[in-house]
Amino acid sequence: MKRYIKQIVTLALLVSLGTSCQDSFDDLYLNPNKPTDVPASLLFNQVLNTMLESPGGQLDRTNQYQLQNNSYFGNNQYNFGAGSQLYGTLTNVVNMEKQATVSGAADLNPYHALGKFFRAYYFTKMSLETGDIPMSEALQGATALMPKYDSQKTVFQNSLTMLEEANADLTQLIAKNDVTLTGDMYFSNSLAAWQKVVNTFRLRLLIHLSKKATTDADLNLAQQFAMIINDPVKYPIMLTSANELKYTWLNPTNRYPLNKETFANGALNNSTSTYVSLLTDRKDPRVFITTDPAPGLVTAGGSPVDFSSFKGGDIGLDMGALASQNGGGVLSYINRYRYYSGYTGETTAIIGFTEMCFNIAEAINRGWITKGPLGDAEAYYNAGIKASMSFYSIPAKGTMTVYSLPLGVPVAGPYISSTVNVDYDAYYAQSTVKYAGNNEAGLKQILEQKYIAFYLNSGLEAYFNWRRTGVPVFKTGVGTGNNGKIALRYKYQAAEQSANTTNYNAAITQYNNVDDVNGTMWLLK
Amino acid sequence: MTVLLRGNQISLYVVDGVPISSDTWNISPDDIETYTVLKGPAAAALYGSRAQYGAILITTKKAGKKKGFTVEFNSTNSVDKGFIAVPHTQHEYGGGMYGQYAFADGFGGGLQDAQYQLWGPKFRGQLLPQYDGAYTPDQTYTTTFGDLTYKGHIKPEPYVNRGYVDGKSNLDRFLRAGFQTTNNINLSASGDKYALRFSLSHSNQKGIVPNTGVRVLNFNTTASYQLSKRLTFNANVNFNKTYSDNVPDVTYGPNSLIYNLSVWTGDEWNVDAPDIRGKWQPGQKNVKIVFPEHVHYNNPWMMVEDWKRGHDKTDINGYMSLNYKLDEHLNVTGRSQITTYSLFRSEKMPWGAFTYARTLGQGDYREDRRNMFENNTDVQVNYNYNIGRLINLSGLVGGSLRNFNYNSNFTSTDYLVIPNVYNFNNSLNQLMTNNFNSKMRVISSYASLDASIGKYATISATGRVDKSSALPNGSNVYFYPSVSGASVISDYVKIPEIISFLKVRGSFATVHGDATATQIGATPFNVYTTLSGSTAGTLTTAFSQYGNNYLSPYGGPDYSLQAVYSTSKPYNNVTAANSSGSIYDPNIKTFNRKTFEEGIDMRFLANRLGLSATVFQYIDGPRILANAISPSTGYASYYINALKTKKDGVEISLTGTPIKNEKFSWDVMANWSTFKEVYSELPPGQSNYNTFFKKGDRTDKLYSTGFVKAPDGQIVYDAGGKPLKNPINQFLGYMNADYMWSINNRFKYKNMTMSFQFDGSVGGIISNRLYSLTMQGGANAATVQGALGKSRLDDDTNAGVSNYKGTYVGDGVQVSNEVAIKYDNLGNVTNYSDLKFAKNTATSTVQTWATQYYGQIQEGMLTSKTYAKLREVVIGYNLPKSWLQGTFIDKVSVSVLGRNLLYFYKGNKYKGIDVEQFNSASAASGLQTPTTRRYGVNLNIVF
Repeated sequence: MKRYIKQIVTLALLVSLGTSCQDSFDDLYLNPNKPTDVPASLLFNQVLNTMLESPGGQLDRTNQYQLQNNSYFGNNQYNFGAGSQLYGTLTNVVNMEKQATVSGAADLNPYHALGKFFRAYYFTKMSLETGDIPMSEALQGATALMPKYDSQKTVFQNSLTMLEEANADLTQLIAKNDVTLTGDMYFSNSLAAWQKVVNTFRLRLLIHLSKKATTDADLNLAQQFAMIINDPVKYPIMLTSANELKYTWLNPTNRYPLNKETFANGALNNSTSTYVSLLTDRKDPRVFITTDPAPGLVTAGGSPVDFSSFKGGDIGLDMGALASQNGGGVLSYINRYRYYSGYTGETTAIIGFTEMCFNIAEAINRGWITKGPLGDAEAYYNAGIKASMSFYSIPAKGTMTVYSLPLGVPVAGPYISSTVNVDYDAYYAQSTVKYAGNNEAGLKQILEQKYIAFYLNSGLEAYFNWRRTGVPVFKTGVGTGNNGKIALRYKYQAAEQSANTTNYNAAITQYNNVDDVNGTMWLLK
Repeated sequence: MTVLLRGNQISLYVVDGVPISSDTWNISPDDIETYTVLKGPAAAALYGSRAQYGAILITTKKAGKKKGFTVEFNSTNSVDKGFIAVPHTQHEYGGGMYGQYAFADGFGGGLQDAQYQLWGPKFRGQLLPQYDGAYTPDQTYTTTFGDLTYKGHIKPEPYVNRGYVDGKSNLDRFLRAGFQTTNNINLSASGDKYALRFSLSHSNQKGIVPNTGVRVLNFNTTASYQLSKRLTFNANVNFNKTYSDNVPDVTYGPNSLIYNLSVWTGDEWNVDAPDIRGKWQPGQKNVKIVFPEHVHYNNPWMMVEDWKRGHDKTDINGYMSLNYKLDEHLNVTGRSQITTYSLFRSEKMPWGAFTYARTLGQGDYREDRRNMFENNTDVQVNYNYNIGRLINLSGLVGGSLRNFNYNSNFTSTDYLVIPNVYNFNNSLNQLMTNNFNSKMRVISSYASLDASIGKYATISATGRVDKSSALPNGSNVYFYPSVSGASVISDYVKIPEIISFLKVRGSFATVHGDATATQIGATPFNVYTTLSGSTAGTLTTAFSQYGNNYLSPYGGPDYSLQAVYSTSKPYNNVTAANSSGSIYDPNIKTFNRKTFEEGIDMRFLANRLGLSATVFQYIDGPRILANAISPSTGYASYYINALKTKKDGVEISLTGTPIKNEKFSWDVMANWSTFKEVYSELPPGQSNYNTFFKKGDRTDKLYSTGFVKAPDGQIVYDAGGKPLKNPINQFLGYMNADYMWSINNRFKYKNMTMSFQFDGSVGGIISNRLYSLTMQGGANAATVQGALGKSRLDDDTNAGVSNYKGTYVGDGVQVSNEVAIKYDNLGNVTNYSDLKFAKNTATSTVQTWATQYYGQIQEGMLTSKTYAKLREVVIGYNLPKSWLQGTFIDKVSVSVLGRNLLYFYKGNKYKGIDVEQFNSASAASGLQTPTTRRYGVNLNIVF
């Protein structure tokens, strides 16, 4: 036997030499196709993109702007599933800050400053959807696999603090003329522009807590609101629509979800009465821009620019009933000229100037502050409506041309063009529009106009505002499902139940131990 | 092709002792001497962890011992004709929605003329604007549906059934008989010192879809030469080229013919009409097609003649080995083997074709190129010693080095500028490209020992150590042993005479393995925002929302255990990075599988009746588990070693020879098998897994959307007459069959043989997508029959009536006391005692009811997986030797065969799918090209 060993070893050596190994096992283990480090700007870009909540889908139904008329493609039910999962995006924020530091940025740098804003933005968004959420123990990976839930109050308090810090950091960076931010798709790396967004967003958060103004004095809602409004130098806020955080659609890379190629989907949705009636009741010219007249009403002899030709569907109706109404031609579609005839639709506000005007008006109405630089509540209410009108290019006074698509005509047209007279003062003079003062009626007007201005933008803000105030009245019925109720919250992520059981169970005790979409979260109480 | 063994997919083929990562069809059946299925991980010790679920051992044909040469010719020709399962479609209503239809441009300009379903008007000869009506811009035609007045410029024509001709639908008339011919000629030559075999095969398959098919060319050469008494050289090389100008794509979507012809369009057009057959609109050749719809549906002739998907794959595998016989106890073998393939796939999508995420309709061109190379080099010492007269020890000791590398690239245009020019230079927008590279090395040593102790027992043991670069340093070396024993009791214990043979056997094996994948797709780790593909960063990431991401054999590292950033261009072509959604246990180890197998083999009545029974237990785990964790950690999954499942199974085989004499014999073989797999250990700290699964639960429980049920089991309806969907997924049944069975009979009479096999499976459910789609889309014949059919007539009469609410009343109950139904976290109704139920009386249109019942709720789409098939009938005849005497021909045999001749399936008329195509535990079926019956003839001549 021994004599063979040499021969075998020799043969084995020859074979192994013949297949030489250049890379070590460690080298081979690594994935050569993907980066393990990336510049902070690339993560920043991802975080910015995630801010957009695209119109053209479920969002528009939840906000009751659009309804589905064909049940194959969806329905109008408020059977909410899990809320947004934004912790992955927050991990991008954490890594963005880390990568900035790794690449030699100073402790105070734009990525860290904006990181605070993003944390506040994304944590509160998740909390607004679901209620209590993990925050203080979150984002630690394997170090804390079962993060405890923080109360919604804590989430908002922490977020408001982070916004205070973000504003302070940005002030310093702007003073130092810091130009290290890159990769900004919204403001071309302008820290001053971001600072306005930070403070404007803080106003939004404070308004979200309006039900807590008296019950939770430690939140200092009114004081914080006043502090910002009264010190525009320290807390700059948006001054015009140009300061908005908004998404601009591009062809061919980022087409508006409704565009001439997806035109056929337009027939599957109608505008809702929740939205259209608010406009037609007020003879609001915005209806001509955002909505098409009901095709059957026009073919039956109606004028395409008569308010009576615009009819939204009752989203509370059974889908079959809506399908029949649509089939009978008595329901309006979205305005195809504005939304479908091109590729870029309209810009989509994420944090808008119009919203801010209405938020300030509301704060004045509620007595948190008495006035702002523009004036009283009515001044801000007016500024909000006017900004919304000008978003739709509606002149204050004069004529404008509006377009609608009749039945049987392709997306390319020809569209019916009509001239309508508009007069803001006449519009405003109506009792339904003219500000009724700092009272319930005035507040309702602010909220109605805010709802109109939120049309197809700002994510779930229209729904959140309804949830907080009941304005405007959302329609319910068999079509909205959920036993005839509008759901008040989204559920937690499915994995929570399996992988974070104890904390999850503790979080849903307030909803009778069910992760219930009809449960009332803290800020609604 | 998927080979399932005990519920797991086998991906390893071992050809003449050499493992190859391959598709089976790379080896010509004419070059295969035997197939052996090696069940269970006992195979892993010899072939590595790729054989953890078993392996298919293929022995290729070699030249025989007989000196001189032999030529053999083998030819098989077969025809595919007749479907065993297609849903019956209705022929009374055409395309549209809610009874309405008026064509303007097929793009939404008309009334329900885009992405319509088969809920359009009834064919009553009424005047309607249709796709081929004359377009007169200066004239307006009025069409009325109830309250709706439609005005358009297409001249209305009588609306009649066009597509159902002589009892044949558009699909029936579009598909044709498939044809396959496979011819092989081979030559064997043997001498004192050599044995050679050369084989050439060619196969040509024409698909049942026009203008599709595949050709396979195969060369195989085997040689052995005895260099000296002790030294033998063996070599084999197999070259295979599989190529096609056009392979059909059956993945659900506008790219699929079944989608276009069988599900969403109907008899409102005729596949043989000259304008449809001519494909292109006048003056718009290669630009705009003729079809009733231009958003999601495509002209089938354009799809097969212009929208082509090429496939060209060349596989080469071969080995050389040298065996040196040291003495009668020891020999040593050195062997080096290669497996390599290169793959080229292309897709030409013409202008005018529409599919998901390709809404501009200006075509595309794609190329997908992949190259795999693998080398396995082994040195083995085989030994064989007798110790005394009782004990024999044999086995081998060996070492192996596996080197693997793979690279691929994929490029796609983003629309074409000039129609019909399939070149990347012709891309309208920025090109989309991707490349991928991977390398891997595994060093192994292994040993086996087979000990036989006289007539009493044989005992075998194996062991293998691997070091793999597909695992992190520190846990990349791992050992796995196996042991087995068998004893032929009838050899040494006196047992009743009726039992002629009795053997017991048992085995135990473990296997560990690394982070590798058996298959890979076109664009690993990459996605394109423009194509709306999946966003999962894996080897099989689907790059596009439409079509089939072809998976080819891989066997390399999947890089799943390391955090990387994924990148994409979400806005304005600027790159953004996304963090890994996973974290990793730094001490992660190999996966772990243990198996136990016990068996008994008995023969009775002088071996005329045989029984073989096996029970097996597989314990899988701890696995390498991507465990879902609380997303608030910042990550969606944590890779840990956790989760155990246990699979128990039984396999019984009965063989018998009821009749056997010189002229006639009859052999029967019956098989029965079953297994079930349960969760035996959940990840640490968890009382449930994937929300619904508890320890001890079967792993194939199907949880999906279900109806809400009253305490008596009736379906609860809402006030609009639609079934309510439970807000939480419900347990709907088990996906795996209860058991599978087969019976094979073989008769022999003189030179004639005849065999036939029935087989099937019992139990198990699947969500039947074809049934679901045809029901909610209005295509299924069931929508025009019975109560549904009656209400459909009413719906048609009331089309366009804006306050119409339908006449169909679904069978079920409603809550009658206005109390809201409350659910717990698992969807159980918690307030039954407060609820009062009354019969549902609310009416619906058939369309809205069917859409909810069959479209929104999986429970409405369930289908049993129980079926039986007459799988195969073969009749063979050998020409009598006496006839051939004096000719140069040695042997002639002819056989005719039929496959899939009969299919027994409950409700086949409406639910028709070949459930066998979904035999693994899958929740839902996809679209399939219908399974056909096959009839063939085989001729074998040996010279």
